Amino acid sequence: MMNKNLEKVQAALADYSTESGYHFNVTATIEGDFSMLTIIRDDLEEFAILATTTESQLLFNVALFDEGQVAKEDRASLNQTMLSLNMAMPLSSFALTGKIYSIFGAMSTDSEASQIQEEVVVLSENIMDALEVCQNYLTEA
Amino acid sequence: MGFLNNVFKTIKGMGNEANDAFVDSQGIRIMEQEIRDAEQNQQKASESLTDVMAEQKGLARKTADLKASIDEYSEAIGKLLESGNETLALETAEKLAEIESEYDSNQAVLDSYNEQVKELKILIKDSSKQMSALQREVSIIKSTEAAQKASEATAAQFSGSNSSLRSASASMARIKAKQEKRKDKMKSARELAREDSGGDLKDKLAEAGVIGNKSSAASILDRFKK
Repeated sequence: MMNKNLEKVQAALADYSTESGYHFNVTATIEGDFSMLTIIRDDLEEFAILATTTESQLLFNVALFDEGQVAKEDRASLNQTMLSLNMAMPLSSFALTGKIYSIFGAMSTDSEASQIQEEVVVLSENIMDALEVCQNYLTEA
Repeated sequence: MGFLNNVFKTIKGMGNEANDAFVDSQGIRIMEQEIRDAEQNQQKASESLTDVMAEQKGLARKTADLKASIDEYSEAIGKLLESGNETLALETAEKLAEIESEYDSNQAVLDSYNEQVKELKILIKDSSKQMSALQREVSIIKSTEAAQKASEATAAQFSGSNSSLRSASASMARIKAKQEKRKDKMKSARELAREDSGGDLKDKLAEAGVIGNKSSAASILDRFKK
């Protein structure tokens, strides 16, 4: 069964388009008691926003790259860059989960549809900006 | 110890083994057990508190009764001595001594009950504080776990493996190219619209001096000069 909090997110993003005319394509994944939304902006299909929830908060997470794409000797410096920029990035923060670097936003499950839309739009706007900052640390592939 | 510190200890694999579960599920189980223990402690303390408070109430009533008797007998002894009835006064004094010693021992027990009630109330408050702290930790760990599952799901979605993502540089380049293309498309759509309305040709003719700009002040004056 789909989680109530995530249903709210799904409803907020259906039929919604950003000021620049982008849409979000939302698909739900349910595995046992774990449910998740995959939110993809038209022009950023490589970087899906994954929405998960607990009783108290909604989490929107975008995996940017894994540790393997950063040279070992550059990682400390990349981490420091991310920490220093965390406060400057609107509504989102950098995170390292396991081996995966990401940006994410967290909000109360009581949030209104308009706040959810703002959160997702700003997070999606932050994706390319965050990657640009990290670009110098990334190995070419 | 702060909750974040506990969370940190429960989260393993900060960039270590690829196959390690990110969150230690054993750790969560231990914390959930701790929450149940704290709940049980609180339950027990509440029950004890009810018992002790009932005893305390009964004993307080009894102690008050004894105090009333002490006052009554003391007054009687005074009156008997005044009226010279020494024998009855002595008998009453013996009774009073008995009551006073019962009162003292009751008062001592009552004091210890009051102390117990205070302690039990503190215990209940502490265990409920502990419970909410633990619940907060578990909730945070679970949301971290959810985020981890979500990250793994992305990784699997794009590369079919659990431990690596597609190249971010390559993706970035693709997206930038796509966004450029979109911009170009919009630009050419605008140009096309201008051409359709003949704007482009008129501009070129005006530039070549073949047609004048009808609405310019100079061209109107020219007309009058002719």
